Amino acid sequence: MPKVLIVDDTAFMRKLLKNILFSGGFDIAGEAENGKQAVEMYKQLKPDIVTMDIVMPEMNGIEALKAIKKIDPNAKVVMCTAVGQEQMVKAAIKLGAKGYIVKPFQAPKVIEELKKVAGMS
Amino acid sequence: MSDEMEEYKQEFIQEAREYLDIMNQNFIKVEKGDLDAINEIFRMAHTIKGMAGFMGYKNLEELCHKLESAMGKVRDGEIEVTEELIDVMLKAVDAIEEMIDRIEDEDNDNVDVEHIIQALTNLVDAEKGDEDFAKAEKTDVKPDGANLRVDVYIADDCVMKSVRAALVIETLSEVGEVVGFIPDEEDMEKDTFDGHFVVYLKAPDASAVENAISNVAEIDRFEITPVEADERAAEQAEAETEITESEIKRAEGLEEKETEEKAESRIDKKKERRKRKLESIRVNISQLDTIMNLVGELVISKGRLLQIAAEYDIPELKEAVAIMDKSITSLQDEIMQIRMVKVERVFSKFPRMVRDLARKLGKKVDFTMEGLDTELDRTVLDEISDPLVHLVRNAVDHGIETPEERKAAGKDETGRIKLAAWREKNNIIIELEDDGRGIDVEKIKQKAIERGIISPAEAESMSEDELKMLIFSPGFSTKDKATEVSGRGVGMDVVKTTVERLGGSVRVFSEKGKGTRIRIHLPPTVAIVKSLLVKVADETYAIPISSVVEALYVGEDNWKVIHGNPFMIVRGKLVPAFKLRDMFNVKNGRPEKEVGIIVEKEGERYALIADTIAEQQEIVIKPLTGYLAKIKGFSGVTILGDGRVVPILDISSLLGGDRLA
Repeated sequence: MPKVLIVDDTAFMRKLLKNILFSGGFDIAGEAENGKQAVEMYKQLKPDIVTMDIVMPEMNGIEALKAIKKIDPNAKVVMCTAVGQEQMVKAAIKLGAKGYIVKPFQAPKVIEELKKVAGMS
Repeated sequence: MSDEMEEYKQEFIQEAREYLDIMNQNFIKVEKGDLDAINEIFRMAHTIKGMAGFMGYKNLEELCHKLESAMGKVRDGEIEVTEELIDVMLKAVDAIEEMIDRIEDEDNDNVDVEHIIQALTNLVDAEKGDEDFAKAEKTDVKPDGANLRVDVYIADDCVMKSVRAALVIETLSEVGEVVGFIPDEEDMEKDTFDGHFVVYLKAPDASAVENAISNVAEIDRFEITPVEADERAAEQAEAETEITESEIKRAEGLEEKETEEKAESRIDKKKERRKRKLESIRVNISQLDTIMNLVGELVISKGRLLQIAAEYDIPELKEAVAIMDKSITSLQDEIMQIRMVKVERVFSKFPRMVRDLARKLGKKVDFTMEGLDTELDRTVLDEISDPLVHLVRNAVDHGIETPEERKAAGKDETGRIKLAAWREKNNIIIELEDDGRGIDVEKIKQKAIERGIISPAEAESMSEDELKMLIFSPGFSTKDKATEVSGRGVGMDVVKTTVERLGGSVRVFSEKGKGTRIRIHLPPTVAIVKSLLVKVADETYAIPISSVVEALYVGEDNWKVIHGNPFMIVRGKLVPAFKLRDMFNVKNGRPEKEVGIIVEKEGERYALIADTIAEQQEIVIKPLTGYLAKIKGFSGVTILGDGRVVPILDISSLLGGDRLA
């Protein structure tokens, strides 16, 4: 079962994602509440997938994505976004993000996205 | 044609017409330098083309395509916006309109548009020759070197389709070289992007491409087709007919586009239809009339119930009727509201009309409109449409001077015409204002005397305002030379009669050399009118309040018979009198005192003599139909609360009998 590192600065969102991912058959590798922490945890935990929020304190999602890609060019990072952040997500995709999920999260879509990225379907 | 296709056809025609309207309006904006309008027209032409392609109307498709290409060039700044350019494009729009008419009537688009297509082709090719067909399509793609074409359809429910597309393109770039994609990034970000896009790819392994896309979520389906096939076909063509390379590219482009467009248009259609279903439904106006009529019946039944309740003194019934009354009133208001349409419906054709006319007459006109959101009853608006056309034409033709004349008069070469509508209390006001030559009262006086409309003596006694109103007299035209456009002496009087029939009025304000302002007051609806109910013996007649000036008792001192013709004297003026009693052959009962209702018809006053005035109330007009429709003198009937049917007098036909006969 693929392990997911959840990165989001709000506990609510992390919890929500955790529940969705559990129900979709994913394991949770860990949770990070900002980009800096995410990069550290990526090194330690070597998760299969990272869900990355964009707007976060300390280090934002884009910066964290860059840093993680530097550590592991094959890292699978899925951006968490909201309508209105299209340009930011596009930038992330050009930097190597493998997918995106849109808030408010819809469980089936989140699961489909992560499964595709994980190569599970 | 199958039922389904027939249904598509109807929708196609309807939508195409809507787009045409928008195109027409936007062209005027283009001329004024509004470049946003170009994009709009480009999109409209593109949409009609797509629909036409889907429906199989090849001529229409080609014409739209040419127009679209030309618009593309304009947008990219490759061709300059000139009046000639707009002329050609407007012609193309007219031709599209003609084709749509044809499609509706005969189900074919066989309209000869060769010269227009030629003109458009010349425009498109003027700058850069035949090169780069794709450019007009707003793509920078030249599938040079690409060996695969990937058609990707993003799922309908995907949020941020443009991002999804970017993800696909990025993913594909990992398995091959992305040579180009359609539509471009900017277009994908627009709301109109339906999720279908094409990527041209140079990739060694098609199955790797397939794998890569399979791993992207929210993709409905995708197709991978080798591009070489097309090229081979093109090479063959070259061998056979020796056509140039650019032409191959062009043919290729066309072919690709066709299939693409078809798929696109189908999806577009589906979406649009779904959207429209949610927002509104289309109702035949005659059904609304029927409903309105039924509400009228309800109002009458309610009146009867009220009477019964009063007669038998049943409190419960009274209460029930009072509640019903409320519902009926709301129902009536609601239907009236539905019948209201924006004046934009009629106004929108004017900018184009003014432009064409001004061009033809060699005048410069800046035409502006205000209050397009003002609402009017559909029937009123339809009726007023032609008179307005006439007034606007007149303003351009007679009102605005030629640039030379204007210059000589120390005015700006460009004349201004403003058409405005607004609501004022219970009236809708439509005002047309120009800064042209204005009305020359002296000239009017001369003409009117010349044509025998007034006598020289009358002319002297008339006020300036009265003289100005003479332009609305039948058979009056002051322009010395009748032009093709307007001014054969018909029209202005029709404007006035139409407005008056609708229960409105027209006024003219003008100053010689400065301009003219024509103001039309209209009731917002015609289905219900305020009327004066008068009695002659046992008979009741309704006279629309809009035509009533005043009411006076008839007495010794204001009644005079001259040469056997009766007159009433109203403030020293003789007013021809007509006894309703005699007109409708009412025999019984002679009143002690009679009352004269002074009405106005085309500026003239007449007295209608009745026995008494019963009351003033709002009545629902029920038109006379069938054989009865031919009866002159009545605009319809109404039914009173007690069930009595009362005829509504139509002043203009009642008193103008001999002229109309």
